[in-house]
Amino acid sequence: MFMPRPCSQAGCGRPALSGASACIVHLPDAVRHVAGLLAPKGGRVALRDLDLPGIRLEDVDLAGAEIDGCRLTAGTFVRVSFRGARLELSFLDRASFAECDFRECAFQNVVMAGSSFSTCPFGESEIVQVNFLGIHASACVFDHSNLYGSRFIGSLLEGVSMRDCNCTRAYFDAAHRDRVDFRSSNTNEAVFQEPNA
Amino acid sequence: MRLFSLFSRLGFSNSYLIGEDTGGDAVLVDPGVFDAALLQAIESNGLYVRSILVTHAHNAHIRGIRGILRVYDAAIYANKPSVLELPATHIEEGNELVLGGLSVRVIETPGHSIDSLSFLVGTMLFTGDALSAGAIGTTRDGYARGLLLDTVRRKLLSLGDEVLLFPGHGPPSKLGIEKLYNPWLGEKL
Repeated sequence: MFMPRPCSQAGCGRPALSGASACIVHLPDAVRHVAGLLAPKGGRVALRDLDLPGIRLEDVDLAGAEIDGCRLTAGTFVRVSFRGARLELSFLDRASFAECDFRECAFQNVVMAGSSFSTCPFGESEIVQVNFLGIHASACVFDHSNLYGSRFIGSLLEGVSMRDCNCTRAYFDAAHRDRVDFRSSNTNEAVFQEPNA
Repeated sequence: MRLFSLFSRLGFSNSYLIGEDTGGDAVLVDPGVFDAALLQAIESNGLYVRSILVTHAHNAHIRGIRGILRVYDAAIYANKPSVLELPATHIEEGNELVLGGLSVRVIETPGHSIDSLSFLVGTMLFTGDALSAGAIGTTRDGYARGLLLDTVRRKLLSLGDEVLLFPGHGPPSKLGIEKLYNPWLGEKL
């Protein structure tokens, strides 16, 4: 699991980036530092126990990446391919995702709460126990995915397709749903009312 | 530090295994089941379960204890003197445990059950059924619900927005996220 450390800049309350002494704002050449961390090792990107809050990635290929125990809170991700990636026990909350590809991913115990997703395909993914509280998703496709135990409480879902999804123990309490397509999904197994621990 | 989250289909509950990267003594929170996945997480990482922390003694969170004790010589810590008729070290509000290399702060969070505890380990908070992503634990009556909500607001939410929440059921979260989006926490007592 990532270990937060404070930025070395006096008076700065932000966490330092992993492998550096300063945060995303105060680290000279932070872009290069992050690129080095994301570089494939042994032909594959593996991010483990990294603290990288506030990073910005654009047109980056993280397909097939392994992301475990990381914090990428408040990041900005534009046209990043996570296709086929495996994400576990990681925090991608309060982030912005635009045109990012999450198809065929395996998520387990991941926090994406408070994030916005615009035109992001999640199709054919294992999305197990993922925290989507308060997300704003527009034009996103989750078709043929396993949403077991994931929580969309308080979210805003606009033009979202969830066809043929396993919705067992998925929570949609207080979610505002506009043009959400649940065709062929087992919504009878989902929770749309009271949370129940 | 390594954290493993393991899911039990028996009680739809989460168990957490905490140990050092280099292996050695480990802490197990709420073993709802002792199965191959848990055994593999322990053994393949060179860990040895030395301590079992019980957030509350409901079956979904303790069913695996007997199995664990057949393999590992572990001490049980709970807010009662015994669990499954096995002796436990009785812990309560304000206790600071040092288990292996981990410092554990004990926080009483009653309401879902009278013996409910939460454990703060660094910036990780293990809440059992007191608080989960977008929900609170079930309660028997209005008094218990009021007690639970008061406890969560007063003792847990004050710990800091970036504290990581690892509940007994459902996905992880952060306390800052719960403040913003948990519909129960906006409810008046």
